[in-house]
Amino acid sequence: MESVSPPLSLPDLPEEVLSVGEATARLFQSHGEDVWRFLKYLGVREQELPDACQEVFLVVHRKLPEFRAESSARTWLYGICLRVAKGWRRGRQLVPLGEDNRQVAANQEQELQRRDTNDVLCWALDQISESQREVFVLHEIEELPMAEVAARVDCGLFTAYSRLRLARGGLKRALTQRGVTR
Amino acid sequence: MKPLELDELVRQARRDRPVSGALASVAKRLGIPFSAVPLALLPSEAPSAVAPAAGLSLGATAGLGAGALVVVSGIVFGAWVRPPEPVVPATGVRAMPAMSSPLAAEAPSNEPTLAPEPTAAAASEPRSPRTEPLAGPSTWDEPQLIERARRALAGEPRRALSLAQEHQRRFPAGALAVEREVILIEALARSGQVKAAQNRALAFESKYPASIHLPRIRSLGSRLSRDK
Repeated sequence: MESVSPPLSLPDLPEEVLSVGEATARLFQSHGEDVWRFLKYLGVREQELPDACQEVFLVVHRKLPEFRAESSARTWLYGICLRVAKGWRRGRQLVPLGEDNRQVAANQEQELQRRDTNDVLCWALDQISESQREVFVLHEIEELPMAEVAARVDCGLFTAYSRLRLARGGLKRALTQRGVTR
Repeated sequence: MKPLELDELVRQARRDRPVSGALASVAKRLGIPFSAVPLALLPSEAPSAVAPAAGLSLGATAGLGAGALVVVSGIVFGAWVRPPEPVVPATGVRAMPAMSSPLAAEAPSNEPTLAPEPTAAAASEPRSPRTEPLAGPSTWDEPQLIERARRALAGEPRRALSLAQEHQRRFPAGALAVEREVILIEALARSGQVKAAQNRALAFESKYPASIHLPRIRSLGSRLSRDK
């Protein structure tokens, strides 16, 4: 890990100057929407997003002193989101196929056409594995470079690319098989 | 019928935003003053628009856990605030030091390639009141511009510099002014303008002493000093 000790020419700052609350507020202002969207496509339900989003920033508030700027603030936030979303997904009641409000029967084309396309993608993402979903959302929707994606989900670059390929295949199949049409 | 293209869904997902007021409600719970409106679009009396949320800071401190610092009402994400009004913290709770406005300090004078930062006087000039819509397509221009600049940093530092300068022109008092400064410093360093990068890094440290980007800036400063 690279040392971040300040050069001699820069004055040392007293520790108490660092204000975690303000930094959290800044992150919320600049990345709140990113966090919201990321959580949503990771599988947190719409009605649970406010609570999940709040949880992320409470973790941010607690962890900020540990932030070492080895990644961008946004990437660091995404790491927190991944863990929070995982908890929300696992805590959520799994419902039988067909009863989930995102599960769409093949003969519901007309209803589907009225649905917001973002919800369609959320539904399709529910059909692939968690690990594939994380890579897909990080790279395709949040547009993180694959090297950063691999680091965030703690796998090798090759594995990350493999998951991405599988995710795309799975999503295309799900959309086609479920009769998502326009 | 033609299947809905995955790439099209992804493009739309990238533009997905919370419904109006959703983030504000979370901010309220966290005791964070929040404005969904980009700073550059607000008239000069904008601080009053966030005052209600800021007023919740003391009450919401408990939600941030023991030892949490109070977000004082004047601290509203950098650039668009006037100097904060002093707030008396609740007993036993330490108020955060107010962050100086990025507009309060002059930019380093020896940066030939960069437009100077706006002065405090210039920033305090009243903008034409609400001649632009508060929520329109341009609402999202600022983060997109910063994101493009950030992405260009690794391979195209000159382009990153250009994009950051464009941000400085279009959003001199934008919500992402701090992020812009970080990109500017890195882009200057990566494009060989070491002296300008060092000057800007020093100015950054004095202007944003509590910034979470400071370790990164310091690390960059160290490298530049070693490489000289």
